[in-house]
Amino acid sequence: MTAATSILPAGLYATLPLWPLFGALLVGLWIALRVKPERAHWPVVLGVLVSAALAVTLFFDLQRQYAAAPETHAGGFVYSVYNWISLGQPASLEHNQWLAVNFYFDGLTGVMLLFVTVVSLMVVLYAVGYMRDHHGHPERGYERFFAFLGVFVFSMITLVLAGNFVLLYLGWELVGLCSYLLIGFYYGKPAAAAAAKKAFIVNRIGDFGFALGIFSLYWFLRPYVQPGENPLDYAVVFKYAQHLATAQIGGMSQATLVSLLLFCGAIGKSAQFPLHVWLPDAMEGPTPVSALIHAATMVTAGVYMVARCTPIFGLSPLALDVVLAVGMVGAVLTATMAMAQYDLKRILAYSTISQLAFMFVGLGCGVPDSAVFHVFTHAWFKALLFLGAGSVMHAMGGIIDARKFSGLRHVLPQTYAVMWVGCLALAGFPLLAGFWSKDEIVHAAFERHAAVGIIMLATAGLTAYYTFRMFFLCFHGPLRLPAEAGEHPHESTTMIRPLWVLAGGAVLAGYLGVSFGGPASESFLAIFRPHGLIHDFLHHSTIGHPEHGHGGLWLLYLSAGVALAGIALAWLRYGAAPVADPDARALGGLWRLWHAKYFVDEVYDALFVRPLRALGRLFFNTDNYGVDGVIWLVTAVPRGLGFALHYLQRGALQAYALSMVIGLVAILVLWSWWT
Amino acid sequence: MDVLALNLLIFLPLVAAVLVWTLPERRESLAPKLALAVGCVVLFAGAWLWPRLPAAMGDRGAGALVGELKADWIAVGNRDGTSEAATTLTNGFVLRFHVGLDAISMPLIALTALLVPLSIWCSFTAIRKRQREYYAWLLALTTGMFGVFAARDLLLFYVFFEFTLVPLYFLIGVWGGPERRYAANKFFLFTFTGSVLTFAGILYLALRAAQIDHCSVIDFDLLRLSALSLKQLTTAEQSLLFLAFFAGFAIKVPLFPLHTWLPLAHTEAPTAGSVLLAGVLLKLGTYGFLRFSLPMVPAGTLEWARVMGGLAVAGIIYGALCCWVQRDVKKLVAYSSVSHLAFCMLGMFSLVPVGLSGSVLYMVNHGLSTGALFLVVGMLYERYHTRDLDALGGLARQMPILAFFFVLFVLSSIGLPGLNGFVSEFAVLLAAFNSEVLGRWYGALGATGILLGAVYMLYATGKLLFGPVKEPAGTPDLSAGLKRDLTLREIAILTPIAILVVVLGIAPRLVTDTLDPALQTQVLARVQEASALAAAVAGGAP
Repeated sequence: MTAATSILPAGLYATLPLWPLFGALLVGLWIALRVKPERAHWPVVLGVLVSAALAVTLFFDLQRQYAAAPETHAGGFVYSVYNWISLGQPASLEHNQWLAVNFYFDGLTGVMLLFVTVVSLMVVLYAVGYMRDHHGHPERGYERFFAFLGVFVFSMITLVLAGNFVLLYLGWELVGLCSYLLIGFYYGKPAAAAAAKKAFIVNRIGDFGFALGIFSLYWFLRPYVQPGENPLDYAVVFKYAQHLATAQIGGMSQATLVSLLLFCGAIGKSAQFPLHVWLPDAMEGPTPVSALIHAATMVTAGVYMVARCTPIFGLSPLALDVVLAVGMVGAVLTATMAMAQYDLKRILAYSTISQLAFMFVGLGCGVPDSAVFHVFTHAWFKALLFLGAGSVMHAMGGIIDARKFSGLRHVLPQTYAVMWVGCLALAGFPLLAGFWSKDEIVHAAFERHAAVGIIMLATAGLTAYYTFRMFFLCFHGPLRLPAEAGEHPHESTTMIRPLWVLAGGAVLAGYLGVSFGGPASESFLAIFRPHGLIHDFLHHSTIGHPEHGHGGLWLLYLSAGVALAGIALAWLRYGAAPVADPDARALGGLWRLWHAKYFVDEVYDALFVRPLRALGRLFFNTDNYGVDGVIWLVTAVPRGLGFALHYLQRGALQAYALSMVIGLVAILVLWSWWT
Repeated sequence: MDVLALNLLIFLPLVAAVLVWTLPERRESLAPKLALAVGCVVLFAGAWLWPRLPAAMGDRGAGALVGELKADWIAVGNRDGTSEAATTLTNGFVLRFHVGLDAISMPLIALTALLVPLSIWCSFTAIRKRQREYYAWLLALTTGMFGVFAARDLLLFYVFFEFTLVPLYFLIGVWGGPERRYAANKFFLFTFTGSVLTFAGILYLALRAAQIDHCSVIDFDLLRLSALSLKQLTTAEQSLLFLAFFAGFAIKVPLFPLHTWLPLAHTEAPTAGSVLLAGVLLKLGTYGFLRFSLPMVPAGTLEWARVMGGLAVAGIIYGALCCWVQRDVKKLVAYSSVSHLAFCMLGMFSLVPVGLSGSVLYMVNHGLSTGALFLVVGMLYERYHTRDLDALGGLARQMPILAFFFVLFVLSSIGLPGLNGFVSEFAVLLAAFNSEVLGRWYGALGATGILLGAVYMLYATGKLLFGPVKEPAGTPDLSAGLKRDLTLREIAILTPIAILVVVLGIAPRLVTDTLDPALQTQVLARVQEASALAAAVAGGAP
């Protein structure tokens, strides 16, 4: 991005993250001054609005520039704010090395920012309606909620804009913090407090690997860094990344080690197997939070990071295979878990993990642009689905269990309509957003290996099935309402409006990733050809030009057919929203295993939590009895000596005289013997 | 003026201590106010000295001293009859009162100057018996702490180092919790035992220095002792000297496995005692290593660096796991100090620039966040008379302001990026990972601390603040004029720390810009010299 083609100065784009933060700080002031919470959402809404406006402008700015110079796909533009942490002055270099606060703008940034800010804006607007009771009074903690949301948007934008690994880590941890604070928003509920803690700690397990990845990057690349270059800056790291491919460490290439360590972070943040356990529990948070953080934006950070580090991951086939394997296992496991749940939000949470796993499969197959495209489309329809579920929850007085209600299309017509769109998009219904991006990944999977392709296609079928199982259970069949719903359950217009915008996104977002025209015989339905604007953008980023196979069109038709089949099957089994679950009967033990989430939580508890706590207890007891015991023994020597000697000093004059005489005699004897 | 300000820091509290002690009984209520006034003066003096340092370093280079004062204190030996000046002393020893601040001591002086008034202020409602003595001891302790960091003479350092024991012994032993006697004795005996060995080391080093320099007067000048010819002081000698220093400093730090006095002392001490103990006094140990062990016996340091690194890593994990099973939140914070100070040691013994500066930064950051956590825990204790995590719960609803501060300091303590703790933690781990002396396994194992830290801190936060409200019967006790949530006074105590926690997270260069060059010239250069010498010897031997 050069000044000539840009209508706004880069310095202004660098303020992108700050606006929501300002908003949050204002709300903080609001809380401190104890102003009425009624309108506390405004600073954050405005802050996110400004950021969204800037992000959209940036997107078009970049687009103009890429259109003007389609062939240049050099690195992005770096805007340095200030030098943050000193890394000291290595003996070999004249200059100080710094970790700077700097931002990196390229096509990937543009795409990510576009949906991060716009989806955030919709969620914030929705929350204005959601965080109130039926009379329109704000809930307890209303201001706090918006302050946290503001901080979250700030953190997420920082994560995406970061120009070096440490700033990325900053955003990475801060989104984790916001997730912690927002999952625990209803902190009075023990389940919410526990879920918040779990989310943060499981994320930190991943971050542990991530941090080691950053340390190793510094370690490996230090010899190559020239004066004036800051190690750990993207630009510097990717410039010298080639060296990592050849150098060996512990039987693997350095690139493999770094990639695997960084990938640990992605597993934690994007809730992939085996660290997926926190995401379903995270549904204890308010629904807008689930939509924003645990579906649309934060959890995609792992995918973003791996895509950003394509120059490193691409050097290591082994690392890509691991990414692929983790993705495949996660996709299948969580899709099956989603088959056997009743909690709307949890079903959506599992589907999120499963969809993220799709993205990792894309990354593992070497098509990061397709993975990011799926991130992009997924954000719209997943936010929509969650917010729709939130609308249901709001109307049902906080009840979200699909067994407790059915036939809601009669009372929530607008929610019903937008949920149709969202579910179709998630199921991969042709021409909706999810279809295009998911298909690219399935394509790449088939290119990689037929078995991978078939597994992914089957998972896509499962996705369609469980999505519509949930949908039909909820909206179809006879009208049944829980007692908590009250007399007249209804929808709030404040909440519905943003849903329509997201529904628009769920329909249209896919078209940013396809192009039109060309020979009819090579196009889907004679119109659409894969790869569009988004891919152009991503080619102007660190992703570069991944090789895509030219798989046949038959696959597009096949995957459309699979999606339709899944929906149809769901209709057959659940179309009437039966009270007794037909799957639970038919699948028996397998279904119960799925329902119990494969007992992963229990296994972790037995394998890690209990042993570590036992070790802690052992250490503490060692402190109290072991170490102090040794000290007691050491001090026992002088104490014992003193005790023994005190018999000599009991104040009995005769004893003193006796001992004096004995001593004198002894000395005399010795003396005479000596001489 | 600089000299005056620095000596004000050292002597004003001592004078004030005598004054407060001797107040008439009917004026007892004046004692806290007087002490706080002195605390404020100290804070201003510290704030006044802070910007003088970059200016002085600009003029006189990385080794510049602010407020230097050098005077003979005790000089024994044969004097030349012609002159009274000590320079003509022969065949004797001289102990100088030599103070001055450089970039290594300045951050710690500033930290002390901040924590002293805050810890005085936080005692207003907590201490209700024998107030005059209490504040007198607190002020005496202040003198000791400033003296230690300002001393430029090894023996003077030792005098102040030992002097700090006495006030703290009484603070714990008189105003502490139920087991205060035992805790105070244990604290005193542990630290005293160690420092006696250090004293032997100091004497030996000074004697050898005189011998090496062919000088008949033994003196303890810091600069002279840290510029001894490394060829003359053998590696074996240095190794033993390192152990002698280790005995005093490692107990003070406290380094695993010599830490067992700390949790008890912390738990039993009154809040102000805990704040100063964690915030400042533990740094006496780390500062001692940095200031004396590293530059004076660099070859010994290199010999023992891996052992130190190993102990540090063990301490990180051991301390963290101990934290996780505590029921007493104050004990939990105390054990977290064991873990945190081990991070500090890990960075120091990585012996690379970023590790050393991260280590000093860690001292400051730990002082802020752990000091603040002790303050908050103290405020809780004043209201509920218990610190049992199982007896309290859901306090975020009862005390939202306290909850805000507690969470902020917890986040700082677990190294959340953007706050101060992260910068030092990152620097320390990066250094250990990339160090030639330690290496990646130390870094990797140490990094488990960032995970375990989150585990135990969030465990405590969750128990204390979240979940259903749980309060012991008859509490909160607001008889001391407290409110259910924090009072304005308490907010005013915590706010400056909260601001610094954020500011130092965003702009650590406030400290490191002056610190880095000073560490390079005064500490690292010596270590590198020793390391080059060792390499030359190893290369020349065959």
